[in-house]
Amino acid sequence: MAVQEVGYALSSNDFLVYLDGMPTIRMNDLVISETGLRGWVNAVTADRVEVLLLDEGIVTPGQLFRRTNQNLSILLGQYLIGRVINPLGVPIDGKRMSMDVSTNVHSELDTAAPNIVMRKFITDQFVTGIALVDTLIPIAKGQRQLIVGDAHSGKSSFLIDLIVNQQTNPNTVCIYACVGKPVTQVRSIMDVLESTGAMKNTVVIATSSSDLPPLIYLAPQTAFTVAEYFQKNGKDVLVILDDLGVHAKIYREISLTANRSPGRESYPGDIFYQHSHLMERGGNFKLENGGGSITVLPVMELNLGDFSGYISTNLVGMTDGHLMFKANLRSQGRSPAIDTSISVSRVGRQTQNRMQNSLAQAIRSLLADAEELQTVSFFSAELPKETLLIIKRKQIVEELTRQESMTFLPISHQVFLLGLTFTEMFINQDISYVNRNKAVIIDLLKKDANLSTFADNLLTLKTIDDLTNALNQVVPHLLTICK
Amino acid sequence: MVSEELEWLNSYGVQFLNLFQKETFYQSFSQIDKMVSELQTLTIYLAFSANPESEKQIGSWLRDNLSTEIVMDVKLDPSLIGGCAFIWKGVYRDYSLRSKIQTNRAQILTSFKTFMAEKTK
Repeated sequence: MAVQEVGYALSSNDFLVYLDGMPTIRMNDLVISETGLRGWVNAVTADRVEVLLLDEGIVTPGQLFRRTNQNLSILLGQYLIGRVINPLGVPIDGKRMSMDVSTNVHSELDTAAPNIVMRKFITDQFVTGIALVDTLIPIAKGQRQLIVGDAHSGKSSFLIDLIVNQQTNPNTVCIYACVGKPVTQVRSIMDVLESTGAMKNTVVIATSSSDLPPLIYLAPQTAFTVAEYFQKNGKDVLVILDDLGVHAKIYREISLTANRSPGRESYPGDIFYQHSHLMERGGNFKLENGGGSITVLPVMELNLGDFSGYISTNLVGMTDGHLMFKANLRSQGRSPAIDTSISVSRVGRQTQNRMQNSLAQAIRSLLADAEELQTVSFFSAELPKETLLIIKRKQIVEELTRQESMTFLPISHQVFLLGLTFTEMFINQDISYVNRNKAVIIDLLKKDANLSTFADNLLTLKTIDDLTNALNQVVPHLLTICK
Repeated sequence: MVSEELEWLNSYGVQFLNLFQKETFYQSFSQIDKMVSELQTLTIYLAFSANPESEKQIGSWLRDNLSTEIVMDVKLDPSLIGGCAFIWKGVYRDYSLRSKIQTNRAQILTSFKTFMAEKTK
């Protein structure tokens, strides 16, 4: 005799269905209707079961739903690398399924975050290859860093650069979760990653704005479940959630449809929990727990630069720092358009080596001094020599940190390049000279083995004076090459 | 109104019909609605279309053996092949021939193959 729990639809409202029956159903269990519509249990009350549909269709009262013996889970395995999947783990890139399923495992989407005993101190830097970030606002392996900024401020291109640059590190797996983006944007991201070869170590969890809200809502959970699989295999995983503002709106839509009490800006009371519950799945883990790390970059698009919104302040509160992107900086040609004065990394600095840290300290202090002096300089025709030097150095730093898209700079090259700010190399030249010769110096560092070794040795130095003295030895040689 | 329906209504007596006066009409219906919603439904799936006589037989058996406060819902599902299945308190129990075949699928296939092999000898 076959026994199966069933339930009848009492009522439905768009993607939400209330069922009567299913006496032992549990949260996150999957149910299926007679017409093949799948749904997952979002809430269970004394007299009804609340189900969110994952497929589009019409549900009429009295329609029969059967309990499947599955819960919300996906099939995990090495086959995911290079694939584009939906939040239920179904590949949507048109490629065939892998035949080797021997190592694949099922895992629930909504799991508890690893506890403190499973975690270890964050010690390693997550090298992005972008000088401005690695030097001034460094990200660590296992850190949660919010990417926040206006629309069209270069957030997406920065994130794609980040994924592309990870090709240099074979132990890194990137997971890009597209949360309710327009189909054309999802397609374009997939094409860029494919054409640059970045898909080799990337998994894309894609949901478009035309998908049902319950499916879009699951995208970040799937991203973390996939990330945990690779982390447990010792990989350093980068999770990008693009973006959580849309995720919050989707959750608001689900909650309001389900008659949950609206709170601030009509978001439900548990919106902070929803996001922090996700964020705490990131971290650096002990060898007993797989040994890998999960670095999380949630993205939040601001409305007209308003940083004080409910969701953005929530996200700032639950992450270890943020990179603030500004549309006006991008229109000035800054790339990446990060406002360093209001960006912060609370964990990354502890992972930098001493030389990097000293250099970052010097640059930060230089930028702060220059900011103050620049205002004064507008009112004075003649400025003291020292003031001019500081303003000039600030311009040099801005020019040196302006980085072309899809370029990777190793840490030693970053230190070499930014260290030149404090030498005589660019002081007596105009900014166009810096612009012209930046690429020449980078090229030289790549081709000249001796210079590259010299740059690597710079990382063993301690102070900014040591760095300046060392770089002054190669400045005459560089001046002969630069034009 | 057909005579059969009139007969059915009259069988409830005058006292019951007096509940549906102008003043008490809505209240009576909401009370009946509440009572009906509290009744348990037994859904029975049959492989054949049951005639009224069979339904009556099943109904009286249920009232005699289970409870008088029960709603019976008979549905047709030819894929059962034979036997029946029913839903009671949110649990579907399949006592059909289809279920038996599915459970003993391997055994049936083996027997069938053996039979075919012997026949082709």
